[in-house]
Amino acid sequence: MNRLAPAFVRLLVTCGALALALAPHVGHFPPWVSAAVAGAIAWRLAAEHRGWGLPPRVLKLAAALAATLAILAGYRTFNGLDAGTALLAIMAALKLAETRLPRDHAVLVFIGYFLCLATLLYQQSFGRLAYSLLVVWLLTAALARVHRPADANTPVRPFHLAARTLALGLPLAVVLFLFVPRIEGRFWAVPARAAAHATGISDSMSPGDVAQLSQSDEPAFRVWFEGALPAPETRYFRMLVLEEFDGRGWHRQSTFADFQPPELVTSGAEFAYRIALEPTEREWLPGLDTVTSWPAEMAARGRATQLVYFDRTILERRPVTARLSYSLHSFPGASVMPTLLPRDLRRRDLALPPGRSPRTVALAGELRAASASDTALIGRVLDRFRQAPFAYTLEPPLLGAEPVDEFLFGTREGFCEHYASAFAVLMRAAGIPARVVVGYQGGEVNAYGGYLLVRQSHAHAWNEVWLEGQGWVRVDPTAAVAPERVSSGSLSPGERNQAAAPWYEPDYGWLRTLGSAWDAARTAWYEGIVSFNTERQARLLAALGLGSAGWAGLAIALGAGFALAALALAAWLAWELRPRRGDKVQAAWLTACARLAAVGIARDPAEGPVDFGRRVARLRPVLAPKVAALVEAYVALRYLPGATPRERAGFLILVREFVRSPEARSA
Amino acid sequence: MSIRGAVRRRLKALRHAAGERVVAWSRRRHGADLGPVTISRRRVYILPTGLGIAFAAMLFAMLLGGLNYGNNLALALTFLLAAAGWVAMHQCHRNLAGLTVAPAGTRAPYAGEAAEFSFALSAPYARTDLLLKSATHAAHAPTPVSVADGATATAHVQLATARRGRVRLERLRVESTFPLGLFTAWTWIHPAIDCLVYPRPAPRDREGPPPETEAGSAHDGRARGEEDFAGLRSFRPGDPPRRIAWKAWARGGEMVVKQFVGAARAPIVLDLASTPGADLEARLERLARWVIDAEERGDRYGVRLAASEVPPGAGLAHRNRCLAQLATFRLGP
Repeated sequence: MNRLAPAFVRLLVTCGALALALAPHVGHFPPWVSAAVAGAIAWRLAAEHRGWGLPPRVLKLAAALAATLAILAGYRTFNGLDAGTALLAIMAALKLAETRLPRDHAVLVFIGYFLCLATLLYQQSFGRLAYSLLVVWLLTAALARVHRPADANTPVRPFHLAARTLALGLPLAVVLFLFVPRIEGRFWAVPARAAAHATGISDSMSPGDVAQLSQSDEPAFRVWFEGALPAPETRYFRMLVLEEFDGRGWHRQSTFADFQPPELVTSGAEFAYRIALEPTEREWLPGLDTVTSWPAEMAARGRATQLVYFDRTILERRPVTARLSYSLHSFPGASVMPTLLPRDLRRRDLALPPGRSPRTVALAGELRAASASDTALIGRVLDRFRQAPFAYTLEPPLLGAEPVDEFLFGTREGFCEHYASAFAVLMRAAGIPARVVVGYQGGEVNAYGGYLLVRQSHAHAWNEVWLEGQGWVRVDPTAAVAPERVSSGSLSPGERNQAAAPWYEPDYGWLRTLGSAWDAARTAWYEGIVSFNTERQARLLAALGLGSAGWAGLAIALGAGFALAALALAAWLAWELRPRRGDKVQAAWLTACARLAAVGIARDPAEGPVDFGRRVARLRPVLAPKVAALVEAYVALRYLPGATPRERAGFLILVREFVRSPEARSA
Repeated sequence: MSIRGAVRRRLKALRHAAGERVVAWSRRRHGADLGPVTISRRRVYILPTGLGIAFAAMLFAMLLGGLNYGNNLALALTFLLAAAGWVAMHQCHRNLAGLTVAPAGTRAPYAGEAAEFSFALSAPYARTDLLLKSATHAAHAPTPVSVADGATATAHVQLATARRGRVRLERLRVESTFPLGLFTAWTWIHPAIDCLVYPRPAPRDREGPPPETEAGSAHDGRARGEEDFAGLRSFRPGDPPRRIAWKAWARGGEMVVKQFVGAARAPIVLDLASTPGADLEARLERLARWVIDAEERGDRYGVRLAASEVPPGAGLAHRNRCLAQLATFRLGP
């Protein structure tokens, strides 16, 4: 291999690290930004290799202006993550055009650091962090190389050095991470990123418009219960209530009146739990049916969370764009509004668009006439679902103008939304206030993490009907058709649909176990690191006995922790460089040389022992015999094989005597 | 004269004065540094470089960004870099502490060239990229020197010279920005070493020095180079290369030097009195030229300067002795 010029290697390392820092952002940039940066890197390397000149100042200024304007035109702002990252990338490309001095390399490295930071602002996964750390290491190595002009012979050294510097800094970084105060809220507003894709629940449903329900195994949220878990068939997590029916689909009530908190009678078991919700880009938060209270700190901290009282769904004021963790209490056995349904609510929950779904309305009339009570009527409807050839499928046929009639009397195939919709229409037509609830039902217990994992595929729709004396009662018509959907949480792959059973999802136990463990690890990562916040910090301080001190406690912990870590670092470095039990012969020889230097005969660095001995003898004949003996012994020990410990000891004595001798002490 | 210029000059003067005071303080603190100096931790000073300050500003911006987005991983990255900067500070400091700097001779230049002071750097463990700088009259940007574990490396400091005499290395700054260039650690050493500066030799004469008649003029009748070969002796530093018996050496033997004897080697004495002109410096320069030429020709020669005299001899050491006489002639001790 022919040797590359050190300046080229230096540039190669810097460019390589920078390219790796940019790589995760390629998807965020307009294509021209990526192309410009890649082109700049390739051109600069070629220019260095071939010895081309760098562009003149005017050209660089013009390019800078053009690129800045182009970014401003594309994003309309420099604020925010996307525009800021693109601007950084363009700055890096332009800086490359004039990279010559160590300072220029340092600027590129700093831009690289910022790009790594931006990578993490986009996504906080473990993989991203590992990647960013790798890039930071390379960037630091590039920085170390820039300042080591004589390093061409040891190309690996800067990488080693950078790794060491970062590794030694780790304890300090941990202390800073734990005790640097976090803030709630923001210093300055950044434009919200456009929702890439809102997964899961949406605020309307139109059964019959969807020919295939996508079954995403993405996690929706995880629940940690204090104590026992609720029974599988009662794991209904309400997310939002749909009350407006237009004959085809169900929609969320768009305006809220200011209702009083509903009457609530709690009974049965209480569940206290914490939910960690994946970003949904929506406002609604899931809660176990029926949510009765939420910790005071949630409201006290000024969280935008509020309970929307009349339908007991929970709303965040802003869409959830980052993982959100919150604690709640629920009584699955609670009665909501058992005695009275306000008149306007009753009107709304009985409303049907006039003239729509005529056969369904007629059927409701027949059933009403044949039933003695509301409960009996509900029983008849569910029996009908059970007995008539209704089937549960994730790939139902599309429905026409009167989807409810067509479903009930024609196709009779559908998933939860079809059943919930048809059931609610039947109830309303029969004079029972009814509404559709969407949320999640079921979940998988993760034994490693001790939590319940609810996936997007657990999304579900069911009904609530208001019965005199009982209040709102949950009715799940899907359970009548496909009981296993409710009892097992979700359809097992085989039951989902024969055609839809994916080949890559074999029913191997160990694979599922592995998946469980992986999800637990990922969750621990999010719970422990990513969502470390003021609250956790307070708990940590309390554990350290500084809980009551507040800000002062944090300052004490930060100061003391940093001092300890810094002290440990200094001690480690000192220990590493402790005097080694090295070569005693060499040390003794150096002592003798130092003695001679003190009387004015300093050994030249390039002077060997024999020459030095001769010179001493010439300059100071008095010393000649002793020095000759010393040199002879030293040379023998150093350069002849087979020196015995006795000979070594003899040399040491010789040196000691020499150093103490009056001849060697008089100048 | 602009006000800005005046202010800038005033500031520069103030800064210079402050710097001098700090140096004077450090000198009082550590005393003179004759002989080898082992740099104790107490005398290593450290400050962030411009790059270090930029690094800190970058970390601050990253911290604000991380806090603003409430992003723990961004904060973790920021803290890791901050910690790495802290570690770099330690590494920078200890790159100097414990280093031994020993004077290792000087190389006298002709006036106008750079005087070179050598220093032997040694340390019990490896040091990287040390810079030795003179506070005044630095002739070149220094090259970084590294020292391997337990080894010795030599660094050179060059001072520009203008006239013959002595040049003194008053103050030496040993510094390092290892490993990341974020900090600069330095110490001052006051070695107070003098280096001779030989007179700048005059341009080559058409006619050489006037023939001197110390030991007769028997050589006049014989052409140069016809001396009698008298045998070989082992090589000593300073022997002219053309006297080395290269063939013998190439055969794998010892490096030996051919010796000649003959009346042709009758010594000449180069006398300041016989240099033309009135200007002492010019005459010394002329004399320096004669000395150099005589040495190159392989003559035996001596120098007479008014009252003092260097007896005839030959070899590089002899030449340097003669030039040293010229360098210090009628200057203070």
